[in-house]
Order: sequence, then C-alpha cells, then structure tokens
Amino acid sequence: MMEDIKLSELSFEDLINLFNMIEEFVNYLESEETQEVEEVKK
Amino acid sequence: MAKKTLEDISHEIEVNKEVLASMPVNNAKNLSAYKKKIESLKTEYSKYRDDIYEELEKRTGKYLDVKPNARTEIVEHELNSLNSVDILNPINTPYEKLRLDTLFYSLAHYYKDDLENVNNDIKKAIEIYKNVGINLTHEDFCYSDYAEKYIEELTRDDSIDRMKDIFEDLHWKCPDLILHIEVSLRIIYHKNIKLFEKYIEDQQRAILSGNMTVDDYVMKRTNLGRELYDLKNYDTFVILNKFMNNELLLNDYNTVSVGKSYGKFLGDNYDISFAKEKVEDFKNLYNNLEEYRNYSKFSYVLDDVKKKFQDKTKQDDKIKSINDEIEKLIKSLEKSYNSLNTETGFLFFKHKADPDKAHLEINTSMEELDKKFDEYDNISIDNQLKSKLNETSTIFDALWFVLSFKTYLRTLIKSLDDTVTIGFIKERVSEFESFLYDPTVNVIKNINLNANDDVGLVIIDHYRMFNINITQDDIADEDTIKQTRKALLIIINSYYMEQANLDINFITNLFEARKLVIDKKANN
Repeated sequence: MMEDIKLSELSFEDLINLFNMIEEFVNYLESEETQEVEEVKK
Repeated sequence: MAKKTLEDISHEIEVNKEVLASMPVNNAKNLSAYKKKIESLKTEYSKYRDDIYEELEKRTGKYLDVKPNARTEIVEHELNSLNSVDILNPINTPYEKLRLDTLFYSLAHYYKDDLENVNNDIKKAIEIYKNVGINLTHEDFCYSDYAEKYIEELTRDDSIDRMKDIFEDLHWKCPDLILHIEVSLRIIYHKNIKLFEKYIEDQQRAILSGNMTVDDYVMKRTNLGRELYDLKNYDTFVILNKFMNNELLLNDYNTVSVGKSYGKFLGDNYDISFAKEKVEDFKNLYNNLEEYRNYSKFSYVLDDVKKKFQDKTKQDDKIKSINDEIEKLIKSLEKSYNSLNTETGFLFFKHKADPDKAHLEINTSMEELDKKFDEYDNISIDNQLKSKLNETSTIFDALWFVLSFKTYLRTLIKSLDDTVTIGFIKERVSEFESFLYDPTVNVIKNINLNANDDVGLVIIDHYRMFNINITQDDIADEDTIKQTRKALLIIINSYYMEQANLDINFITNLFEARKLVIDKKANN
C-alpha cells in the first residue's frame, strides 16, 4: 500500500497530513486493543 | 501501478476500520482473530508512520539545523582583534584612552552598599598603572594614611566580607576615604603623565603594524562591522531562527502584509521587479532611520558642541594656572602628610603634628585637588574641542569628540536632569557609544557640523531621489520611526526569504513538522 507512495516526492504539507492520519489510526488500533483486553477481563 | 494519493490512504484506513468493526468478538476464538488483525495492522501502519517520521526529521533537520554562516565566526574573530579604537583615538589623552576617566568617575560616585564594585574599580586602575610600568603599592597612596591603609588591606586580601569591615572602620574615621584614593590615583597619573604617553605610543605602534594608518584601521573595522551586521540579520539561519523565537511573526509576512509594506514606500501601483531591485536602498533607509532616531535622542549633545565651537576663545593661560595650582596643592598635601609622620623640634621638645589638624588639612587639600582636577579636565576638553574641530568637521566628528571625552558627555547628560542616577548616566553613555560605534552610521558622517541641515529632511530628500517615499510623519517620533522601520524590515526579510526559497507556507509547515518531531522525540 504505502510502498506505492514516494515519500520524498510529497510536499511538506502532505507529509504532515499523512503522518497525522496514520498516527491517528495507530492510536485507534492501540485503543481498540486495550478496550478488547478490558472487555475480556470483565 | 497508479500513484496513490492521500485520499487513497485515507480510504484504505476507513476500509480497515470497517473490517475490524465487522469482525465478531463474542468468543475467545473470534477475539483472538480480532486481536491478531489489530496486531498485524498496527505493525504495518507503525512502520509507515516511522518511515514518514524519518522523512520529516530529515527534511526539518535540513532547515532547522542550518548552521550559522561560517563567515560569521571569521568576521567576529577579525573584529575582536580590531578592538583598539580607544587606544588609537587621535583626539583624547591617555587618561581617556585607558578609560581612567570612567573608572575615577565611578569611584567619585560610588554607592556605599556596592563596595565590591568600588574595589574592582580600584584594582582595575592598579592593573592599568601596572601595564604602564607603575607598580603601585599602598605606599604610593601616602597622601592620605586612610587611603594608604585601605589599599594595603585590599592588596593583601580582597575578600569582600573582610573589606567591608575595614571600610566601615576607616570610613567612620575618614568619610572621604574613596575620594582620597581617587585623588591619590590622579596625583600619581599627573606625576607620571610622560610614562602614560609613552605607553600609548608603544601600544599604537604595535597595533598599527606594517603600513596601516588609523584611518585604514577604522575603515577595516567599519567594513567588517557592516559585513557582520548583514550576516547576523539577513542570513537564512538567522531569519528562520527569528521566526522560531517569535521575533518575527508569520502574519507580518503574508502576501498582503508584504504588499502593503512595499506600497507604503513605492505607492500602490508599484512594480514588484523594480521593488526588489531596491533592496539595498531599503536596507540603507532602515539603518538611516535608526541613526536618525539616535541622532534625535542626543541632539542636545550636538547643540552644546556647536555653542562651544562658536566661542573661539581658547583658555591656554587658564590651563597653565590650574596646573600650577594643582602642583601647589600636591606639595601642601605632601607637607601635611609628612608632618603627621615625622617628628619636629629638638630632643625633649620633639613632637609630631596634631593629628586632627593634619587630617583636616589633608582632607581640605584632597577636596580642593578633586575640584581642581575637574576644572582642569573641563577647560582642557574645551580647548581640545576648539583645536580638534574645524570648519570642515561633520556632525559625526563633533559627536565622536564628545564620546572621546566622556567627562563632557556625562556633564551634558546630567545637565538635562540633575536628579538622574549614576546608573542612568552610565546607560546613556553606553547607548551613545553603541550609536557612534554602529558600522552602519553614515548620514551624519556626510553633514557639516555648521550646515544647520535638518537631518530628517536630508534623509527624506535623499530617498525621494530613488523614488522611495517617506514623509515627516513617518519619522516624527520614536514610535513612528519604529513603525516605519518595521515595514522596511518586512520588505528586507521577505526579499531574503525569497532568495532562500522560504515562503510563508513552507515556514508554517516546517514549524508544524518540527513540532511533530519534537513531540515524538519527547515520547520516545
């Protein structure tokens, strides 16, 4: 997926937006992970 | 494969979220599959994120780790080696060149609670005399036994708590203790003037090695100063740093604001390529306005020089008579001191002078000498003014003269308001010095002292010739000058930003990226 994007060709703005987008998704995954663990504990 | 866009990535993330949402988690087996999926997505996307971070770090580093121009350090080093303008000053005497006038002024106006500075000033003076070849000991302060005692203690162990006790003790007995030290130092200078002159001549010879003249030296220093000014103000690294430290605001540098600044000086229908060709003129105007601000602040100094200059009477005879009086007072002082320490009379009738009477005489002589030295300085400065300035002198020459004799400058500052503190006077002297040492000062070097030109108008007229419009209102007072200079700075900085390919969007993004990098580093 990401291999199809050449980071060095992205503008600063796109790079920042991409970083924020992916960072947000990783945070979402981490929260899902924690939430499920909590539910199993219950 | 077709190139992916940010929208494609965003879509992929949404799809992944939907996939996760549709996965059942109702039993251990399903939950385990769900967790595996999350784990796999996390690994995949964390790697992408790290790759992007690396790219961001690389790019921000390229701009944020910009090192100051290598030339800056070289120029600074060269300038530091040319720090002997005081010694080379062709106008004043060793007394001013070695800054003894300033040291003694400090001593004469000391604060009792600042004994550490008093002691430092005395030690500095002793060091200067030592450089000249006069190794002072307490015995050289023999004009006053209190001064002698204080110097003896100070040169033995100068720890401040101990010296405070000694000062308290001696000051109680002799309230003019510091005056006695100051006057003693002046007497020693007076008696050894030839040594001081010889020292300065030797120093000047050593500084001006080869065929360099004082003018060459000053010119070299001014040119380096101007180069350093440009390096320190208009370099890419410096401009970026100013934005980062909020010294420059991004809002001032958007297209509208920059256009408005150009319009202010070139009219609304200005031609941008013509405007950019004028950057050197804008830089000069920016500096000239600071020069004008300083000139206006110290106009009273120039007024006094002009007044003195118009009165052509020199007071050579008076100088001679004061000098004679000083010699006489020194002799009388020596006599009083000797009477205190040597016995007179014969056999059983031998006796020393009445100490109270002798101390009173010493004190009176010290006070008189102090006044005479001041009188000597003032008349000598007045005479120097009449012989050093002439019909071709410029405003700068006149102000430089005053800087060369800071005693005169301090008197003028005090004449504006007799209640000002010594700290205020020192601050003003330092501002005056920075003003005249500024390598960009130029206008007042080209206006004759007697021309009676309005310097502000001279500047306005000069730039009108270059089609740059400024008005009297733009330079009416400190605030308007500040505003006018701000508009000029926007023009100048935006020019250099463009030269370095730094547009305002780029800087905004650069700062955001820097914040991401800093936050990530802090979290790791």
